Amino acid sequence: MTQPIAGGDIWLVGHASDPAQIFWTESTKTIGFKTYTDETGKNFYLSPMDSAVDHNMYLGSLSSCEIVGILSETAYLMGGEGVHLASMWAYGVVNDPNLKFQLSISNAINQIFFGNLASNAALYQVTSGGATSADLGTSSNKWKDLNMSGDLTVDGTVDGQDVAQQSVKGWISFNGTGTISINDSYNVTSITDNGVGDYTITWDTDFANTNYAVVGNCGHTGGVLASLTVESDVLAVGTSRIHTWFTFGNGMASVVSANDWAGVYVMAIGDQ
Amino acid sequence: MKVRIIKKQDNSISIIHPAIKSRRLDETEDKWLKRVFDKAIATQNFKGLDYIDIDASELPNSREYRNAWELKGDKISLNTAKVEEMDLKKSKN
Repeated sequence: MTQPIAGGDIWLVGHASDPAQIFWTESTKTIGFKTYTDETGKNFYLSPMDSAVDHNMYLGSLSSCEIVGILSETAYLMGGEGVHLASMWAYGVVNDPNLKFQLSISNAINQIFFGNLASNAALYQVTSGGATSADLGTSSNKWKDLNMSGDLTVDGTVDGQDVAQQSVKGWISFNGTGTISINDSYNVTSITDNGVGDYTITWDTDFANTNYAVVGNCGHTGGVLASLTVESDVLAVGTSRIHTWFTFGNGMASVVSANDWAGVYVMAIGDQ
Repeated sequence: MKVRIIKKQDNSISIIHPAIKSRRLDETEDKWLKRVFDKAIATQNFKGLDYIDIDASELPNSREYRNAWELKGDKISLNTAKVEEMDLKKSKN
């Protein structure tokens, strides 16, 4: 079904079990869209007829909605309060590199898809309050701004890099002298002081197994040798016990003793 | 900041220092500390051991005799025998 329209902003309201309905508000602008539903009547597709105007889509309760076309101004695909969509799709070509192809969602949505945006456009934005996944499509352009308040899960790679495997899963920087103080940390619930140079780091999210790698070092002053070791025989999925040392003397005459250092730095990488 | 002092079977002590960044947005301080201390106790074989919670500012400022710290009542005190042993070792070095 093809249905040319002239008017202002377009509002789409419908239900997954019903064909979508179209409303538009008074506006000084003229806007046209080709609209059609698929054979199920549950999916709605929009294609702008006039590329010289803003294309603002306000979406009601549809099972999915798609915007397709050549856009010469910033295009917005918006879902507001009360919108629950299974998916939102956006395909298009943006001719001006200064323009944005923007998807803004303020409510729960299961998936966001952006299709082939193989143009010279440089700016794309996704702002979402509750998307559970986002497929950024096959565009050759780079995403400049991805702003999501929820979690972003990357199943594949980013720029060829396996992010999940390469990311540091936990780290801590602390001062082991005087009253122990944690400068900063990530994925650490606590550090246990077991004695001089003897600490146990408790990870917030456990590792999947004990094959993870823990590395660290100590900051020191003067011409002394500071070192850090990991007690590998007690390495557990939720904890890592480390020891910090002070070495003085040379060669066979050197003496190693446990020592507290003002800067102790540890990080861990592995499966979680 | 509260810390938990665990009295171990050999009378030495371990001190759990919570990492402030681990507190979740929807957690009260009490709930956060309980989660942190519970996990440390469960994962480090501290179950069933005596403990006290104190403010970190009450800990001794110097760690010179840290390995001689013991828990007496609700205070940290020094084991004098261990202190003497540590001093002797230092003098030999």
